[in-house]
Amino acid sequence: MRNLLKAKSFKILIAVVLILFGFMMYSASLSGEQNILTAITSFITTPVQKLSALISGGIGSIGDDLTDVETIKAENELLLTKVRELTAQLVDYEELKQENERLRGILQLKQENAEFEFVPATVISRDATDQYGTFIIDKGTAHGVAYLDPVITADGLVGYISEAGPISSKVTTILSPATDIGAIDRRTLDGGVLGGDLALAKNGTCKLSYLARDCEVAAGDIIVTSGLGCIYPKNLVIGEVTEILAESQDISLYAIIQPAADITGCIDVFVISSFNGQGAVVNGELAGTGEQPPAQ
Amino acid sequence: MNIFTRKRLKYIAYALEILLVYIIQCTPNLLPAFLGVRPLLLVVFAMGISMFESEGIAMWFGLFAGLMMDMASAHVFGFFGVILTISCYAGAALVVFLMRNNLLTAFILTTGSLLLSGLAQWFFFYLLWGDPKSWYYLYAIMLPQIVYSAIFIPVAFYFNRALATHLTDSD
Repeated sequence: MRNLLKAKSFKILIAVVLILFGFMMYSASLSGEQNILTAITSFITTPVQKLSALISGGIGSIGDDLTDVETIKAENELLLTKVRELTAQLVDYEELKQENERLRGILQLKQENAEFEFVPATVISRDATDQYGTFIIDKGTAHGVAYLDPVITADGLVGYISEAGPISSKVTTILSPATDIGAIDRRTLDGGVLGGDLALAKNGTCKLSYLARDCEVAAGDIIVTSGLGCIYPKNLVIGEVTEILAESQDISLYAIIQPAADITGCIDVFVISSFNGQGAVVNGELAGTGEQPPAQ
Repeated sequence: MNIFTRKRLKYIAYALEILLVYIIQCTPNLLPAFLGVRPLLLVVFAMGISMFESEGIAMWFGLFAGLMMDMASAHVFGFFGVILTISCYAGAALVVFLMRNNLLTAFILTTGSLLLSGLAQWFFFYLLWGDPKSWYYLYAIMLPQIVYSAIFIPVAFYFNRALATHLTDSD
């Protein structure tokens, strides 16, 4: 064992670990850009992940199909074949209906906000080590996606682009504590800051903090983005209030929010690549980034 | 087939295995969640490979698996690279110098590696940042994740044993 410490492989191990530490520091210094290694390998892994996401979606729908057929088979064995056909048609119909509803929601959003520019994207990978639902989409800077762009589904806000690579990007969701969103109650106009929490994230919920003691927020209220900070456009639906509780560390209240979008299960998302007031300059800095605006 | 061709084939098979496991681990909705967590298959399979290789070779496959995990990870790039490089090196060295190469050892080493990975995440991403729910991570997330991942240890162990036996000096 003592010889192991003198072995060539041990010296290589130390060198590799030191290089990795250097790389970690380099990666941490990048704000919103994908590091070079991830960017290069994403050219190989993104197409493979796209394919596997497609296959896993197919397997899921086959499972649904079989469940339906089993139920119907028990009810009427003589009409099994016919029922199979009809069930398959029904699955297609439901899929089309859901897609139609999704697109209708986006269309409505687009009609209400004509200045929005959308980039449709598919979730190709989810981080098994992250409890906040971080995922990777198949669109990057080559498709017009940029750092801090909001990510939504037809139902509501999902998160923002936390790392933009050439052909893929990482999305940090609203369940993460790294997210701070100015949000208001649509009914009462009470404002707060929306962010994540470890325990709440496990249940797929998040919290609206810094609510005043005398606020009128109530369960069932809809929470939307306030538009402050210029990272998220105004009036994007975030979710619904389920509970109001008192903060243990100060006198403010916080509300538990059930996101309107299916954060941990969504497959198709839309990136808002442009909207009025996006990235406006606040106090000489690019809003939300702490960086100086690029020279004109 | 000479020994070099067999070795080369074996390493290609390991690399493909890691790539496949990465896809299975990261593909949305493929593996069901258990108590809200998903298994860390790359840790399990990388440790499976290290059980049948020298520490020098195990280290490189640990590095590869770790960097693959980092690609999809929300944490700083290189974090899992460091964890898995060290884990695989230590695992292989322990099997070479101290421990028997059997399923029990695979359970001890892989669970140790999962524990190291979980504790490192807890320390660097929750405790150091003063997260008031950091203890919650230990029992509600890390523990179920280790249990769920451990289910796959026999699969990884026997699969890699078959691969290593089949493609090593059987001429």
